[in-house]
Amino acid sequence: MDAVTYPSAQTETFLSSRFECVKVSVADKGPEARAAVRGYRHLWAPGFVVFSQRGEELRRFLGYQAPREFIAELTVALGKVRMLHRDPAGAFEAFREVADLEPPAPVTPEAIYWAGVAAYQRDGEDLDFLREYWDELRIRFPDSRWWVAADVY
Amino acid sequence: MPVWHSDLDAAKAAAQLTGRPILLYTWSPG
Repeated sequence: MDAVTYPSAQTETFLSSRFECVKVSVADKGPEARAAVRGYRHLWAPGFVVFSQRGEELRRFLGYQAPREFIAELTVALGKVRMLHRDPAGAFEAFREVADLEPPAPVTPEAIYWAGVAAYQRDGEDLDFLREYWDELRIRFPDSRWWVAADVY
Repeated sequence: MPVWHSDLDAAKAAAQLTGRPILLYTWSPG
């Protein structure tokens, strides 16, 4: 991450403008470092946890992330922050940004799932809207666990 | 490079001011 992803201009601009960032070494036994990861430590590093401005945990992921995939993961997290703030239209924009990536990112099926949820909330909680958006999962990612999650509708 | 806080509480305080969410990154030196 420190050799490739964080130094990239794309990642730098994205993080600097959208997140407050905390970096903690798992080898650091100091009280600040211990306090920072208490309750949030992964079984492996590198690990990532996204919190809302109010400290609610919204997303965890781990392992090396190339810049494009890292930004896609964090954009989905931003969408969830917007949903938490009752901004389904803003959330939908964030999720669609990832849903429309070509080629798709690993997190794209999840982004489509959440875009459907955001559209459902934005457009008056009509299940037809949800079905319309989630049908994209059936068409594009039928083997995705997110289509399995959506298939009930 | 983004500003990296070393303390989650400091990041939470900054987030209150900036309105930005928080990314906690844990890494291993070895």
